[in-house]
Amino acid sequence: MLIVFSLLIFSAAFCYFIYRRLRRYLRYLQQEEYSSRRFLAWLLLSRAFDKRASAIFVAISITAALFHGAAFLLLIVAGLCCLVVALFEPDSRKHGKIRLKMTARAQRIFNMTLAGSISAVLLFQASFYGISSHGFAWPYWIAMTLLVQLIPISLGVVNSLLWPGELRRQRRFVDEAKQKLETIKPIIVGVTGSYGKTSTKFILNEVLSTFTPTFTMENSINTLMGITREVRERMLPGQTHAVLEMGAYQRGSISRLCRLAPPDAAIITSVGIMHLERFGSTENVLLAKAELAEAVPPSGILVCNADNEGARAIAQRHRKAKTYLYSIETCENVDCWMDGILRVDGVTKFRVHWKSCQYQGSTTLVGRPMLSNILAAFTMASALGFPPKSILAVISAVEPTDNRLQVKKVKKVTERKEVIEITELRDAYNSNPVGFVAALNELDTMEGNRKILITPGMIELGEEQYRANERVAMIAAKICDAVFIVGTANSAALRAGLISGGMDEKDILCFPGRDAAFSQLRDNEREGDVVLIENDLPDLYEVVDKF
Amino acid sequence: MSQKNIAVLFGGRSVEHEVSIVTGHEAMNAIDRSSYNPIPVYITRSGRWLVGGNLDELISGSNYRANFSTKTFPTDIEPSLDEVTLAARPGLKGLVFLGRRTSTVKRNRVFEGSIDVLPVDVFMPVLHGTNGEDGCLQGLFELAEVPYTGCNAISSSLGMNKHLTKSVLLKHGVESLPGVLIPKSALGDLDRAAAGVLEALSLPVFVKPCNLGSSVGISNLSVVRSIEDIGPALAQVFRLDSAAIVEPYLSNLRELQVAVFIGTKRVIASAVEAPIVKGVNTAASKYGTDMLGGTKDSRRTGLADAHREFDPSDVPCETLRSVVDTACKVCNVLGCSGVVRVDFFFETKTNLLYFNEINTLPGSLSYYLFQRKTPPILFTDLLSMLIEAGESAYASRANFKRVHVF
Repeated sequence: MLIVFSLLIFSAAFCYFIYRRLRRYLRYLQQEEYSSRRFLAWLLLSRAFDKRASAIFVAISITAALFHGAAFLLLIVAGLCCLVVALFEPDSRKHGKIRLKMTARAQRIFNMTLAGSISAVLLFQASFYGISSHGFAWPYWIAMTLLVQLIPISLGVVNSLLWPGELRRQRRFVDEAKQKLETIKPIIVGVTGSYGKTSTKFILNEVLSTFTPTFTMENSINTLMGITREVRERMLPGQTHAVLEMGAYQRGSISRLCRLAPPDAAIITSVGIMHLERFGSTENVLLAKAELAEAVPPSGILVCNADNEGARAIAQRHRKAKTYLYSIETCENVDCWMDGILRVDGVTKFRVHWKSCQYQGSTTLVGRPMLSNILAAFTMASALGFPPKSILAVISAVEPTDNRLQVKKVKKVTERKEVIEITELRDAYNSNPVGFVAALNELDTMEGNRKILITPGMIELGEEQYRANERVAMIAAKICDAVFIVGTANSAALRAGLISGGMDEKDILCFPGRDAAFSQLRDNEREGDVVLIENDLPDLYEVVDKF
Repeated sequence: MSQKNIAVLFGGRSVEHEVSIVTGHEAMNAIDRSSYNPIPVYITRSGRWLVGGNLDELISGSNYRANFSTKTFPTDIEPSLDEVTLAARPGLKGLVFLGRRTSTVKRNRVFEGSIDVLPVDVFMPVLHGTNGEDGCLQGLFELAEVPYTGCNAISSSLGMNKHLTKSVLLKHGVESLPGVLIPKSALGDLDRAAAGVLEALSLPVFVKPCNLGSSVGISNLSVVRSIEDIGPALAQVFRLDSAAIVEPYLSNLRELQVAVFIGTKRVIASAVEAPIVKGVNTAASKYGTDMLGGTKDSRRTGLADAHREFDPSDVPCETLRSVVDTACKVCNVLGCSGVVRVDFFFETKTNLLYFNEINTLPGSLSYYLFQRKTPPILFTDLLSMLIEAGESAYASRANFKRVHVF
């Protein structure tokens, strides 16, 4: 009887532990966009399989092998240990930089895996009890260890099992969104490029919205399901234009998006090396972006960045009735160019040449790449028929968005109760080589005492990643007084670049995660510091917490 | 004697959300709790009405600013609060609960127990800007047939539209700066709009939104010194509003403000104030940019703490009297009630007084202006007066014979 009682206690505690642990793993599965393959790859690479509970069980197994009898005591001890470990599992709905969002899909996966796991546990208990009710010796504990290790695997398995059903659901949503787009019939402008697409979309949206009701996504949502959801939930009849940022994650992603929302016009900002590992090769990156140009009908509008080789090539391969090239570097063979760029007191003034006319413009947005984005938006808006002068008037009034090369003066209270003012250059969004250098140039021009860079480096650049980070670090070494490297993804590359750029070892600090880095920063900030926060990464790329 | 339940509505779906939180904090702390039971109702940025939990502490405590910054609210606190709404249906006499029942707020059951109502005797909105000060909310109060404080729907809407207010007041002999109204369609032909402005006014001019309150849609771009710069100034407004007002920008203008309490039987004006604000009157300069971030050490508490001068000595007495008289006239013409603040421009060289704008629900309910009056009126008493006036207004409305047309 005692055995049954202790078995129940242990089972309950074990199931509770599974419940907490599953929720933790679920967050990572969600961050990997429900790809079982990538989730399991992450599991192996970051060694995020369980150690705590396994250690306990193995220890108990050894104890059981050495000391016979009192199996029920071991069960109760194991139960208590499980409970303690379970209580220490952080709730990923509340902790972590990107928290777990218990969407309906996440809930389905969670429920099913939990049900399956609990059933498996109970089955195991019952069968062991059936086999040898006075046994529960060390083999039992080894079996329990195995069960624990299977927890994340089961999550992956359930996720895969539910895939077809999720796919059906998704297809239904996509159909609804497509219906809605066909009914409302806005003029659809697709925006893509390795970098600059979100900023270009943002500026174009600001311009169009001032003239006419326009639909766009609030943040950088650019996937098929993301756009589907936004269209279903937020698009309104009466919106005459839709600006859709289209992310190319692999060959075919943009084609799929264009089947949902066939574009009438497109902007290609750049073809670069972002997400190189997902694409496989640079030619693939170009072809993926070119899918947007392909989808535009021959009578449509295509706007491409002449300063970028890949974008220019796409323009040449896909000629439309209205193909326009824009450039901030040259006026040769382009339809729209910018010159007379002057920086005065935080405002950048420039002159735009378009269709044999000149227009004065200005902006408070920061960084040279931003001028390219502005020109892209201007060209498209003009091509769509809006008056150029008014377009530039709106652009002059556009305010910078958060965390895209955003300058913010912040007052802080130090430990010693002094009030200091530091300047933060917030560029936490997806960093690319061009943007990183632009941000560093910005940092260079700013006035301040110390220039500090805090970054994990750039990711998803495939085989180019090391070199790209190293190159950027060499530039940073000449501009920064100190560099805080976050995480291990690029620490080697960054260090190498910084040192060969001439930075002192003592000015290079490495941290396992962003929280550690920021808290060190906060403790040591001084009046007049200028801090560049570049590319705040999701948890996946940081040192994983203990499992 | 049981206290009356006063719902204090703060927050709101407008760009003046943070300002309203300050007013809410001040009102919750000042209200006479021996006669009234103040029930804080927080209207989130997404338009949900929340009550209960420890909302009272959160808004009344000294740490209130940090509590309501976008980071800590709503994920941390919201689950402990209840969501309510005001139904457009007479007779419920309170707020209807939606969904969860997590907090311990008193409730009545009505409709054979199918809905829960949080009883409210008087609604006191302290919301600013769109959806709170422009008549929308007041219209809802009227439909629900509940007592409420402040201006009614029509005077609120009218007061929000600067152009219409100026037009109406002009007919009653109240002067304001000459202005040009530019509709959004002007974006189609900026050159023509610019020509129109130059015909009527001479540079420099000031461009502001017609319908938004308290310095939103305004920045350094709003001061137009050369006509090429009018494009950005207008564009800034048209992103937020459907019409812009262009007025002359005179550097020798001083601002004079006075608050007026309009009760059923009496009208009381406060002290006159000349606020001293550096540069252009943006929302940031008026209310302090750090207020929006909720820094713990931020000392700014809204206009109540700005640098100011009361009953300024370098302004002639007759002007001050004129300010008070004109303000009362404005309130009368527009049909205001409760506490409003009327802002004027005073041209120092010519001693001319121009009506600028009216705020039908001013920040901090302008209590600091009434405190500077001789004899002073304390905020607590002001609130009591406001509530009583609201109840009288309700009784008057209820008193009208209802005529049904078939």
